Amino acid sequence: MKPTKFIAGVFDDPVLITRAARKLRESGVRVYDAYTPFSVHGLDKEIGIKHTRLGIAAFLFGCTGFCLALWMQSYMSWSDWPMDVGGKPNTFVVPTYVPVCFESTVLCTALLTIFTFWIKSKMFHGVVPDLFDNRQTSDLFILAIDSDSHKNHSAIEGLLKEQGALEVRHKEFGKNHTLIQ
Amino acid sequence: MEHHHIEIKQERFEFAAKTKRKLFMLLGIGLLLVIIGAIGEESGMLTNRLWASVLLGAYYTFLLALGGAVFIGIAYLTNAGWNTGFKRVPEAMMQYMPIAGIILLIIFLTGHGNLYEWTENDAMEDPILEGKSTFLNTTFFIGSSVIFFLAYYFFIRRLRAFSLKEDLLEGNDKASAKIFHACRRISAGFIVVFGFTFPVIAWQWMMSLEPHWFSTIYSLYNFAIMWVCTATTIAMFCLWLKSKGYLNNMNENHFHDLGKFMFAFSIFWTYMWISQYLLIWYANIPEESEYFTSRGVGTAIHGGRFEFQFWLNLIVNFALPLLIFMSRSAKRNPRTMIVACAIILLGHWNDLYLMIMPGTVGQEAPVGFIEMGMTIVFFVPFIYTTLASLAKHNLIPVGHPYMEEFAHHEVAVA
Amino acid sequence: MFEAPIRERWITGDKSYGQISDDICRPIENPPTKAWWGGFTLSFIFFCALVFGLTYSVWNGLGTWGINKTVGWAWDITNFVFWIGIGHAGTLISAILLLFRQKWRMSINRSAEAMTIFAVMCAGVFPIFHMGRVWNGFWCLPLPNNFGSIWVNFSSPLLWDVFAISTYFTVSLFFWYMGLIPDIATVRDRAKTKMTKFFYNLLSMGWNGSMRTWMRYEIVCLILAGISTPLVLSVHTIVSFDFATSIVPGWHTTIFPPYFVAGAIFSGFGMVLTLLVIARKVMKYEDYITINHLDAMCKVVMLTGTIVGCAYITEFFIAWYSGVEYEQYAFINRATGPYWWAYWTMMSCNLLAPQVFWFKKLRRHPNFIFFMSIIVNIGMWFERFVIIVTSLHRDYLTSSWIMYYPTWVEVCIFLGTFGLFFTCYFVFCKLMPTISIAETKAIMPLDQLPIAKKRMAAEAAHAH
Repeated sequence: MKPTKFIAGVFDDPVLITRAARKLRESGVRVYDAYTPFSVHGLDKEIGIKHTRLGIAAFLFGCTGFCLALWMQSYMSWSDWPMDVGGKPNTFVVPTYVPVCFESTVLCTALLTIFTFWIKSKMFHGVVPDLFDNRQTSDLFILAIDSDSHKNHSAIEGLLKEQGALEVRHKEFGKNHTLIQ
Repeated sequence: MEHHHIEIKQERFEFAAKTKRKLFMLLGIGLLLVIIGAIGEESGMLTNRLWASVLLGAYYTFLLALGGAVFIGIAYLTNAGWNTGFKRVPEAMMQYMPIAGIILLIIFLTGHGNLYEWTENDAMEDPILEGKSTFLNTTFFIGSSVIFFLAYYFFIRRLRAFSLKEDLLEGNDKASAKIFHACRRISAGFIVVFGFTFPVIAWQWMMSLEPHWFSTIYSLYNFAIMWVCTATTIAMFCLWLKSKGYLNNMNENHFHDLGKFMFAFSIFWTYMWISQYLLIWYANIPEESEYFTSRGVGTAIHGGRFEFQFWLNLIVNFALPLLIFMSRSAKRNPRTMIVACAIILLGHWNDLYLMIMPGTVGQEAPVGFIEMGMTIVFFVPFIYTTLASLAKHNLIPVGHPYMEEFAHHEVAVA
Repeated sequence: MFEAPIRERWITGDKSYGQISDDICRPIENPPTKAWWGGFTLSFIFFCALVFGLTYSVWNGLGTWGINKTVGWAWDITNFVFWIGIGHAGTLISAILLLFRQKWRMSINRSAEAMTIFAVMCAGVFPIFHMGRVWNGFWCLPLPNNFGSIWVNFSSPLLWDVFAISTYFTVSLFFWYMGLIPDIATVRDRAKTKMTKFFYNLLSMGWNGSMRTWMRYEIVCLILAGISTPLVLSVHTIVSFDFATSIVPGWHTTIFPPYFVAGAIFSGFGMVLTLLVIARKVMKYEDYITINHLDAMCKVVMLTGTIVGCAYITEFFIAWYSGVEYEQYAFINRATGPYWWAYWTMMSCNLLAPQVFWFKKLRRHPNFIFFMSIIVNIGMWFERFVIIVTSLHRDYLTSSWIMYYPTWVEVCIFLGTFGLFFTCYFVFCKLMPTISIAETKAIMPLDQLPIAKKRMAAEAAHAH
């Protein structure tokens, strides 16, 4: 079950939100996610985001693209209809396959990695996002805490305020909200 | 986004007597290998092999010394901060330049007849070589080499002098900024001079080993070798210094960047390699493809003496660095780094071997004790000079404007 | 990340995060200015000329072009290489400078990437229409020839071009779009009308600035940068293979791949400067695209111009050194033959002219830079013209020596591509943020941020 009720600390300073996240982590409060107008380096570690394995996926996509192109060229110009251009008969591998293999590697890596990223992040055209504040993509930084799994709401609120939150909000979204975990 | 204070302390490298002894022993091993290899070798072949391997060792170490200077120059010009803390290493490497110059000049003066076919063309029997004689003649060859060495040495001395001055200016931002900008001006001059002279060096020292053959990308190919090997050698020295407890502000983040550097420029080298190979293979003009057929590959000939080494080149200098350096943890782990560095340096030894041997020693050229020993004989003085000049001055450029940034350097993603 | 105080500032003045959004979104949210309408209309007229020129040449056949039996491709391939080259600066700025952590790329990368895409579109026009019967264009796809039994020829550099250019276009487009997503979300959340809300919501893919997404996003962008870097090299390398794999004197030379790439970056930066010197003024972006940016770009222009010059000299020298008389003649003919003017225009615009940027004053003088950027564009156009036409027009058979001159149709198509390029660019400026909002905020120095200054002052007071 996805949580639907959140406590949101609203900040206007990336340094303060990072400090607040650290304080929350130290006092045993799990942060659901942070919402920021740009990527705040250091904040990811404080809210415990695991290193993504997209890099490995990209490598595999690249290998796929390479093999695909090699197979395509070998099949078309050597196995299906052997070609001999300029006294250089084609074989399973020849230097002239290099450019197309390379391009195919790049194309597959790029497109498949992007598509994987979109799917993993539940990003699709037409999705209407659930926002804590309209300014979270401009100049506000939001720290969201799942309020059902924590009991000491007032302590969390106090901590956020103490760390310089402009305000603390309680927000409830519908069951099909777009906040990923 | 917040940063904490990191202490930057001056360090002084001590060139221990034990290290010196080890280096001398290594030199002895090198000489011994050459002597063992020489026993029983037929005399004509022996002279050729000796000269060719001397050129290999001398040119390789020359590239590293020059590469150190180019590394410093480019770092200044691009405002690089990630390499400030270990900049004394490339600086020490470039101190080998005068020795490299003298050695190479001696080789050219005494051995040119054995190395360069075109010097024997006095009777003008070969019209093609005669056509090139305004460029390929000993006077121009030696004269231009002397001028290039002097020019490089001039810039190296200036860069070094300014760099050492920085140490005295710790905390004085204005004065160190002034020195920094002076260094940038010197670097700009040096890089221009380097850019226009290095191609000539590649043509006359290396390309003219096979004087009938020509390739316009050749100078860039040499540059690529120099650049990869320089970064690798710097990484090697840094890893060694680190293991001895020096370079305290340097950490895995900096090695990560050096690893990326080696990764990127190994691919750059491959780009040069494939550009030269593919174009010559494709057009198949006899004057040009001769270079590859004499190395055992081409459309007509297969299975020459060098064919294995030729393809090994691509595996060692492209495939292995590509696969090893792709992973983040490999770049941050000293053990994998040292293995990868060794692979690259050996790989480019093979690369230089393939550039030199077929034109000088010929199709029967082996990879024997002479070639290996001679390379050791040339690397020991290079390492010795580098360590000696590291020990002579402070190890950490504390007064450099980017030093603090260096200490805080962190590679965030990938 | 800690920054040395000696580093140049890439944003002028104090800016809060909100103000950065306001400044960059201003042209999108306000009605278009007169200058925009004027520029757009002019570009559109030129674009119409392109449509007319292409229709005319398809209707009447390629006989309307100046090409002949000896010079089988000239104007079209010159323009193809010219436009592709221009596109390369965008990828260079977005990918290579990202890998090199050059922060000055932040405020120029978006428009440079857009430029890449539009330039590749312009470039694509030429080979496609040089096919003559464009409706058979699909023949260059890897399909059985004429749906018979033979496949396309993978040994042909022209086929490699098909793969390279289409990959380049696709990857650049996606890379550009990826960069735009967070900024589109910013525009979406500021939008006032239903129409704009719907439009930007559709494109923003539900972006909400989640830290998890940001982390993945940064990795994906880094991977894209990592593969775009060799991609951009490969594209111009393959373009250079079109020439270098042949045995035409002056074409078959191994330095072509890196030399074409350097030239592409050179010409691309020329075009970026042309666009940005104007854009920063018209869109009031002087605080974001500062004189320091122009300075840095001028240095790149000078560097790449000198590299290209070095390659010219290398080629000339090796042609002499090779002892091949055809090679030697090709180069003598370039410099002193009937097209000497093209050769010397190229030499002076590309090697000599950029040397003025050794002077700091000139690197920081927008009007002068604008003038120089035009010079660079002209020089690089002539470089391609020299390489292509001078090598072809006097081939191995003296009896087929001939001159090439363009016809009005070709000129019309070429000018028309400028119309296509600028029409797209104007539309882009109106619809999308031309400076990366998120990245600009991320590189904002703390001592130029009102919030950070306030916090630090409070902390200092607290410590006492």
